[in-house]
Amino acid sequence: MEQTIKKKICDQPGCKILEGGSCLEGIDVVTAECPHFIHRELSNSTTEAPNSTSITKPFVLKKKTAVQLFTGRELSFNQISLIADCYDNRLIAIIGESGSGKTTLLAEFFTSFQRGAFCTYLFAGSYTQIGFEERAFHATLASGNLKPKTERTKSKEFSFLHLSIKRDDQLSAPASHLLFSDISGETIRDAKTSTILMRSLKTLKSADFILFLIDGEKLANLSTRSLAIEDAKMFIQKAIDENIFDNKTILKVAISKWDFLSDDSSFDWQTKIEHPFRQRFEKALGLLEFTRIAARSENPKIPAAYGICDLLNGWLSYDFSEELLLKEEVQKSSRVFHNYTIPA
Amino acid sequence: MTSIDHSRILFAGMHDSGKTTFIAALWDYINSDRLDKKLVLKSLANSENQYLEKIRAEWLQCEHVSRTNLNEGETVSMNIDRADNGQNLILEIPDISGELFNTHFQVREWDDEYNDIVKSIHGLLLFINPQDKKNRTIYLADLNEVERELKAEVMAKEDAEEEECNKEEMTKEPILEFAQWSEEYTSNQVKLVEILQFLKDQRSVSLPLQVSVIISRWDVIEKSMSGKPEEWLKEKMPLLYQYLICNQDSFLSKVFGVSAQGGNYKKDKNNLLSLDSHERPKVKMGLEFINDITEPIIWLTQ
Repeated sequence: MEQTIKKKICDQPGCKILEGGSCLEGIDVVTAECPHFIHRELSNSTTEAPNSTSITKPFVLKKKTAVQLFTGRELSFNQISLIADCYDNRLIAIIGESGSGKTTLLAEFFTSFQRGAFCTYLFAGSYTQIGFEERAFHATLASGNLKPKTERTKSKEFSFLHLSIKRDDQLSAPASHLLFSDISGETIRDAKTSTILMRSLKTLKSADFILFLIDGEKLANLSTRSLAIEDAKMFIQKAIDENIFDNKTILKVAISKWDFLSDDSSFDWQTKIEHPFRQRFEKALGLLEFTRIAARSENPKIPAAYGICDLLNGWLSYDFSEELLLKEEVQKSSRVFHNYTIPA
Repeated sequence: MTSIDHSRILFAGMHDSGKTTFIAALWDYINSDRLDKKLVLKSLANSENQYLEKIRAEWLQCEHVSRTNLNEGETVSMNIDRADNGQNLILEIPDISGELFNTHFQVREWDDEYNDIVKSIHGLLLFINPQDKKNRTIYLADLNEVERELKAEVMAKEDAEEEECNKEEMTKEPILEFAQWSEEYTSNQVKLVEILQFLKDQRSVSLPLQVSVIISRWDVIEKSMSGKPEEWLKEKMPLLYQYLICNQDSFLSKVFGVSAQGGNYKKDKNNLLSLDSHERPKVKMGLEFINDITEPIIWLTQ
């Protein structure tokens, strides 16, 4: 009775793997998959040796090898070398308590380019399109929502989104690569009262820029205004005291959802926020700036993406060369901008 | 490392993007007796042409061409020459239905055979259906309240009809307030950018890949958009347009408006049937129209 058996053969001319030699391409065929080392069905009759020419079904069960492509999803800190090793880039940490608008802002960076050129910039690519798509989904008609919403960030670890852009008048110049961090608002909330949690945010020391969002909707409500301001102060103070922020930190404090506040004459943001924050923190930081933004707007007087052009312009135009010269003079710097080593 | 074979051209595009009708019209052109042909058949050897002949027959009779009678993963290819200089071209069509490209976006991998094609191609024909509602995401912020409610109603109705047609499957959940993102909600412009990024990532080649972007059904679009095909791309699929012009070191692109049918089969069938077949296809380059469906391929070989 004839039986068929499967036997492995190598179809690459000159390869000695089946003769006891080594693979021509140096592949360990026991542990790794070689595209030339394949199964073939052979007959095994009682009168005929399996290595004779009686191949009954000469089809090849050659398994196609899958070639992995980049995932398109958010990157972990260890994965950002995918971009950092290849391109000059800027790492921007976006932090703030839950509901302050971090995810909405991140989504807006991508969705703006889906409508056309944004400010003076054009979209040149992203390794994390799916990460952006997930964050923007609840603002789409397909989500079934009647008003734009944003799902909150749940991750307690930093994750990163990548955006590559070019100025519309500099198409032949290399693209600018931005890496935006995302982390849950609960982590930021809890870190202001916990040394362990604050010290776990040491990734912030590797950021080129930090954007701290204060929820404009809370500022617009008298019952939550003072607490929102004091919470922000406490976080910054704790970050300075735990050496997470230092005299190299470039911090921008942004009042988000400005569309809730722009008509409120009772709120003077410079008196309530800029002046006291400067007085208290400016000397401890490398640079302290303030801005107002509205990634989405329900106020007809405030356009969507209000203030976001200025953010991009600021991050892209900042000249680190002077700071890098100073850094070279320092023998032991714990901060490496473009390799993103986390200090011990 | 795979060396570049300057004669291989890949057809790509999402489902229903116009590839099949273009291929039918092209196969007819190549096999026609037209004297001024720019592309001629080199060989029928080692090829299975039943499918190509079937869609050619349908195209010649002004019937909608079939997309679904190929085995999954089967590649159609054409071995042709440029008439003027004899340059040999292999046109690779790895997936007629367009599902392959959707799958690449979803599962984030492709097989080594396809990877070999990707590494060896010189040109890409990228097809876009301008009437596909999925070309671009609709963001709520871009609609006023009345529009939001109307569009939501239309979408709900379409979903209900679709579910009625697919009662056996019944896998699709009705859209709920807390629907989760999945790849089906991603627009074509995002997916096409991803296809190009995959190509860029896998091809370790310094020469830019030439890309003919083909806006199909141009005769329908022409009524509302009399400008250049490039302007349609810039306005309707801006993310893809920006990506192409920002990555000219990787992709050299030109946009063509193509009507491979030559017109509307319902309204103009008799008129189309009365024409010589090579007179039917229309290609718009810039502001100029020509009756030569090979132009997007010829441009790739220049």
